[in-house]
Amino acid sequence: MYWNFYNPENKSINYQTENLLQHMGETFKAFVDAIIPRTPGLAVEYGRIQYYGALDLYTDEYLIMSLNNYYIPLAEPTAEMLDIAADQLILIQANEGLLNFSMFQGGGTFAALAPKDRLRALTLLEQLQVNLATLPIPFQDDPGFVLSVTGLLNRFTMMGYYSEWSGYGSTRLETPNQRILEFFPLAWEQVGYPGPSLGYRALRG
Amino acid sequence: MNIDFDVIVIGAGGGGPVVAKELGENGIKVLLIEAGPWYGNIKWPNPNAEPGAVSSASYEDLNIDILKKSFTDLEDDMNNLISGKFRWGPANREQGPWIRKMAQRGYVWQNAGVGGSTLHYFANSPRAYPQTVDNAWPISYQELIPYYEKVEATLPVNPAPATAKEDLFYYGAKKAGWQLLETPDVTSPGYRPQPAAIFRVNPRLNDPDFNLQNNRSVGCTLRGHCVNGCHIGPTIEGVAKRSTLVSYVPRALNTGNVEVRPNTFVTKILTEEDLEEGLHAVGVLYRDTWTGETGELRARVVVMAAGSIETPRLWLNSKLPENAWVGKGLVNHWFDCVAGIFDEKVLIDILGVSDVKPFVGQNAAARFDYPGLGVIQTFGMSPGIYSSMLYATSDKGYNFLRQSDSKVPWDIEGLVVGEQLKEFMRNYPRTLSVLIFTDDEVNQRNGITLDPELKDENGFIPVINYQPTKQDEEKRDQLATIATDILRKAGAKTIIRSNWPPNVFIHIQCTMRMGYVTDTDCEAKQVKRLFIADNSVLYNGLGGPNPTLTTQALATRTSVKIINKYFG
Repeated sequence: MYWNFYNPENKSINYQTENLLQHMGETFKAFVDAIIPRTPGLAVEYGRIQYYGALDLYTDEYLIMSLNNYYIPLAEPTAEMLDIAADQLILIQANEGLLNFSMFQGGGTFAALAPKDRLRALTLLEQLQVNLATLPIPFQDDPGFVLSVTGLLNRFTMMGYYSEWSGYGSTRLETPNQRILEFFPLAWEQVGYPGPSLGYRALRG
Repeated sequence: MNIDFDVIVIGAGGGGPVVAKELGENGIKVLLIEAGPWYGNIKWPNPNAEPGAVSSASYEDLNIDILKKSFTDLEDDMNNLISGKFRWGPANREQGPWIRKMAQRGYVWQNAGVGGSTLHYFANSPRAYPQTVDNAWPISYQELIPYYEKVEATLPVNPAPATAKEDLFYYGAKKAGWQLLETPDVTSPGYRPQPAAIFRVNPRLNDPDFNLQNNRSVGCTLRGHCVNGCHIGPTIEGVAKRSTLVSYVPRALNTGNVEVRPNTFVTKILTEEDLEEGLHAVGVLYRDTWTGETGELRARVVVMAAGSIETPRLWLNSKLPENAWVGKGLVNHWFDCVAGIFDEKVLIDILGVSDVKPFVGQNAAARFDYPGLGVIQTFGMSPGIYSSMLYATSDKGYNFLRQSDSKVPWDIEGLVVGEQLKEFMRNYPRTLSVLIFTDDEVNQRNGITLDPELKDENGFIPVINYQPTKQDEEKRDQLATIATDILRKAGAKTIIRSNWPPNVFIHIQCTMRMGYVTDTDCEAKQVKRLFIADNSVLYNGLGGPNPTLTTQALATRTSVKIINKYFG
């Protein structure tokens, strides 16, 4: 019921947990990278700032933290669910790219999919085309919950990337009251948002 | 009988504070109970970090500096659904949010806190369409008008000012052949400035010598943070956006008869039964959200204003009499979102400026009304919320997986991701977006039930079910087509339709309908001395208009009925 902050620095965990944590971490890295990738093409066209993507702004950590601060911690079962969906995608041969386990080392099938295939795998879940009985608790046989959480993944990724959150810098994983905005978020520069303002001399007519 | 207050009002959102102020002005002693925190009061200097006092009954306790410190203008800090200051959850953000269960994809966007969801609302305050009240509601539109007028004067409601984005919308709407509407009682389609519960623009705003950094004067400064919490003004009561936190609550305190108790969750309505009145409300059980302490408070009348999910939940958790319409009839205006991306040159030709900046100006300042179909209104916000509404919310999956469809007038439909998302967001300053509210129909199978097993500290948790009809879908598609045409006529080069899932809950209404659960005075038919004063008591979805003003007008009327019946 209470907040359970994701802390990648926590060394007091056993080896098995470490593997699980790494698997989960790589899975969400792969997910946010598919939603908001690095874009060398845009950088060539519009300037270097447009290169950076979700991995540069730690949006995967935002996603894990948000999921774990739900009323029940959800990051691990969600990562597991994404892997089951990825296996299903491979099984029905609906993937277009090849599996590549060296992109996100320590990740599972989901992280090994090509970026668009990761979203195809998520789509299988959104269309409930995965056997819900094989999903981990609390998703098992609960289509409403599967749909709620898969929808959250897209929204949280954009909120994490385009809001002020990345600017919290070294305090980004603290509880909300402890965070301090340390710098101007790079994503705001990418989109031409000047940050909060006390007013604009913009009245027309 | 031991009485603590004349009246207990449950919920300090859009409706509850209206009842508190109206009753307080008539010498009636009111306790206004709120589940969330109180921002801007010296008794809670750190509202999210420490419990503070139990209650406040003094206007002198209000403090603008605490409000300015709490409302940081940062969208994740304020509007994160799980950990934001404006979330449905307790003041202590080290605890999770309160749970709602849903059968479909979507989410509920509601606030706990003094002010309720008016803390983040856009302050859009249109009246209902007369045709959806007359010959439908058990009371007439004519009967609502004096109460509309009273609320419009109290808040007050003003026509919203135009920045570049509104002028572009008006340009497109006019070019598409629509008329400018000049009346608040809308009977035909057309466009108009938003009736907004926001003070007029500060008259010195465009003056280059006017110092925005030190500004402590009255008036909107067009800074685009309606949704993240407005704090512009010299005092709490002088804040520009007229959430009930800064409009009705200060006036209620000013009567000297109203006490407000935040951080307190009502878990049960207490009733007694006698020969004279039958079953009637006598008080409430509550739980302190910081300490977990529970208690009982008694009153002559109880008013439920906890919102369209919690009011029926509270009825059901209190085991009040069965009624086939308690929790049922939910309408939600099945929202959608359409946006156009413009070339600089087109904007310069039309507006004389090269962008429309969604982060400048009031968040939703221009609208299009179509009685029989619903509403289209502009919206613009900071980029995190903006992108998650426009590009990350859809029932149609990823756009890149969609089969191209030459029959639809928009270019893109569904979730936008990858390089295309970054390209579109690079064009954020040149994007004009609109929300659609569908005139969806009341249907008894939609609504709130209790989960049979899952409980939180406040009782069995609510389960939300909502499925629109084929007709609702057709109306919504027509509105999306009209919106696309307006944007196209304004010169948009790329048009995106998000196509939201039905279960995004923002305008939650009609779960305790007048005429079914309550009589025409909004008193529960089966429980005397128990009134309802939130969106749940609305008879229908008003035809699409934003519900707050009508709820506030009805709450004003309900206050008169309470006085006449029980305090005359």
